[in-house]
Amino acid sequence: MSQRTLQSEEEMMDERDDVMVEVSDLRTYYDEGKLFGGNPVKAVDGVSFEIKRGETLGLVGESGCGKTTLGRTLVQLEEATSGEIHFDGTDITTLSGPELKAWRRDAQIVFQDPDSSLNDRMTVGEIVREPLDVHDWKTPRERQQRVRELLEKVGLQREHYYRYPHQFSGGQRQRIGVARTLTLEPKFIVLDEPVSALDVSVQAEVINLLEDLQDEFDLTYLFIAHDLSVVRHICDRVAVMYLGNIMEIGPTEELFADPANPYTHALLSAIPEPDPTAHRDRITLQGTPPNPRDPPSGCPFSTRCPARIRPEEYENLDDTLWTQLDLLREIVRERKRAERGMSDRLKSLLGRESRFGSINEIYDELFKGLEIPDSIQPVLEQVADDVRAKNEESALELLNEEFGSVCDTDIPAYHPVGDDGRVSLCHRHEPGHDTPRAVIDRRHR
Amino acid sequence: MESPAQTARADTDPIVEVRNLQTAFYTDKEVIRAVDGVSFDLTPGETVGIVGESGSGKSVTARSMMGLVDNPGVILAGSSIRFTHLETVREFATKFSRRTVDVEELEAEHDVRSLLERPGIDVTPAQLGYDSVESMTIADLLAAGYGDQLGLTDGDDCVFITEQSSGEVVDGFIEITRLEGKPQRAMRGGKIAMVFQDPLTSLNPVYTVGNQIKEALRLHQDLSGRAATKEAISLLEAVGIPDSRRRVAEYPHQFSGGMRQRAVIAMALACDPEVLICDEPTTALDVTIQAQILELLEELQEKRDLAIMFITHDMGVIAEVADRVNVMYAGETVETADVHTLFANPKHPYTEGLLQSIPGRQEGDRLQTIEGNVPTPNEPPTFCRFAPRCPKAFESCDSVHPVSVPVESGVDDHTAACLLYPEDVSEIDRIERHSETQSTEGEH
Repeated sequence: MSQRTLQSEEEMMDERDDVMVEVSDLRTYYDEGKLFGGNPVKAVDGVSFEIKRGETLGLVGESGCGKTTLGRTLVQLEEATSGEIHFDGTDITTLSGPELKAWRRDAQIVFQDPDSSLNDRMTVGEIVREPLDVHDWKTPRERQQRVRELLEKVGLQREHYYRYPHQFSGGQRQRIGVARTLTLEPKFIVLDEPVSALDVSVQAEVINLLEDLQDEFDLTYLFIAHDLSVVRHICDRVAVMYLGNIMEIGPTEELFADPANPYTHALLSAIPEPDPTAHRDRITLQGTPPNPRDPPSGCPFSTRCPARIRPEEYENLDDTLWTQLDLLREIVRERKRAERGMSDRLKSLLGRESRFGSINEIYDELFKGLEIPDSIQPVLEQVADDVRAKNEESALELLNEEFGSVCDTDIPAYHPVGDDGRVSLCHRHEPGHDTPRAVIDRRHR
Repeated sequence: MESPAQTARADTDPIVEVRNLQTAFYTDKEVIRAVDGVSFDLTPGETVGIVGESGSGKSVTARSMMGLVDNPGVILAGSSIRFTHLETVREFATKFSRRTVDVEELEAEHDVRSLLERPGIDVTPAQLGYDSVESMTIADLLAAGYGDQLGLTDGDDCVFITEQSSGEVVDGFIEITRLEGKPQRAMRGGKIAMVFQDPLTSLNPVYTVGNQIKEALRLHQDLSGRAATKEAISLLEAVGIPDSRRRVAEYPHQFSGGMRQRAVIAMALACDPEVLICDEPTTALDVTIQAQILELLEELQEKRDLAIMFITHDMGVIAEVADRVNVMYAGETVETADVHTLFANPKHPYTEGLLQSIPGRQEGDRLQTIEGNVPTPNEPPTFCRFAPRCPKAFESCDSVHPVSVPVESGVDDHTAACLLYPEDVSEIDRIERHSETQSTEGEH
């Protein structure tokens, strides 16, 4: 084991030259400038990874997981709260002024929506030429020449120089966006969902174009997407993000064929396959991702995880009961957050029906027809009492204490899985636990 | 998905029959034939999927069925959308007796052939999608909207009764394209409900979610006050929103994207409709949330025996939800088959291209593409609209407009509108068959 680590470290040293972007413990928070501290949105919450020269790294995850913020931070459209981004050895988070401007030539971004990322009042030529003007590239005549060449390169025509964006279809507009990023011969391009707004057949054309350009100009891509089949096609390695954290990162084929992290499992199983005969057992995640202002204290995925570690004494509780218990926890958490308006308080003071249904109704909804073992009956009663006393905080504490585990209290570490430098963020990779796959198979199939 | 028989009508009988639907938009510059002769059926408990690129007329088809086509859009004469749910026909016949037509009576007086020969009636059976005069009934003619010209119906007649026995309606239909005013409002939302793509735009931000569900309940079921609130809560519960008592008093912005779509579905189901039209209901959602919504729709369909029409451009979603698939291109249905046949054995070159351009369904490094864009259908078709992009196009494709034919003689439930089919007929016969229908169409 130790020998292998040593060996891989040596290899890493050799590969060091090949690393183009190195991100370490990067955090980007929004809304933190409040006078009294406040509670920032933790859009990117401590990610570390590298991108090698000439590769395509895919970044996938649900909306709101921070993938776009991460992409924008990498090209310094957002300011990082902490952490470092080394780009060919320079920490770009410290750059400013003329240095930053000079560096920007090397890193560009293609935006998701071709309708809103092109200025309708400028001609295509002006749009594509603008970066050249900004950086005062050669003479105006040469600039025009270069723009025309680029238009041809991305599959448009030289004559399109004087047309306006509205005269083009969605796929063509995205090509204009690609041409604009290429003007200054960047080395690194962030592609922020470049094909999500396009139809399948047009999407295929743009993907082909991106691959051709990568070969021709030796580009390095960060490809942000939520369509996993596109990612599987174009990317060399993939990072799976959830709530500001990278849950798993590794070579594409390996990750798709044998996902290690429970979240990757669930995400992959949710893709509808274009094959009606394929009957894959889907793991449907309950609920939605937690609020990034108030992430769970343990593993970010612990609130929805299908393979969460359960306390030993409750290990053999019925699975449906577990789902309902998790739901109860979610409801109590929600209630704690929800603000009670004046009228609600008045209503409950006067003993009228308020919009907060009584806990009895919720229990009815959740546990009707389920057999509740004696061991958890007193716990549920205590929780009900606490909620009745408007003391959601202690109800939550009790629930966590009884039904929580290491997943809810400790942030897991990255564990190497597979042979190719793949890592996954999950407590289940520690010795003494079953693997996520085994647990998911047992609980959900 | 077998479901128990509810009425005397067999389960496999369609509840909505769309025949030759044509919706056009009249602009200063041109007439855009957004939907151009589409026919299909919806059956209870079954999901019909409609796929195609943007601009192929999917949404306009749905809006035509809901009566939501706005000016300058017009549903052209000759189009027919029949709602054949027997209980609804009975209900409408009593409620709107002035707008009800007894077709049996008319049949006793007239016959189709002589009606068609009357001067001023500018239509042939082929134009309406029938083989011959013999295969047409007066009901077909009335449904297509020619009754007014013939003096058989009034402008606002919309309920047609084709069979009665001892005062009881046994068979009939409501013609959706002729609905207006009160019966229109009773049908829309009450019998046919729709779920739109973006849940945020289909919810009003200044009213609570409960309020918006209660509006539907008030309009269609005469519920109000506490009873309506109670019903709204149980609807939210039925679509899987936990703690619905509290949720019912919250505003749309307090809901997450998936929850909003659930709330919209709850609104659509508020009046217990027979037909649910879903226009890209999961396109704006993440895959994990999409999975939840698809599961919910399946559950609801099983429970309520809904007929669902599901519009999407995602082939993966279609493979999962649909029982039958219609592939649309430039306003026309180019191929229709049950979902297994379509994916295993696509026949129309457009369907083939569409399936091939999905990453992961092909070998090799480069993705297959379909060159070019969907054309705007702004003239009556005299050629195949897909021909300019078609890898298999040949000479006749530019001069003959293909009609929907079985892909092979004897195969009824798999049709394609392409000159390459029926497969087992020689090329000359094939072209003749396609152009025959066309020449009779073009006579007038």
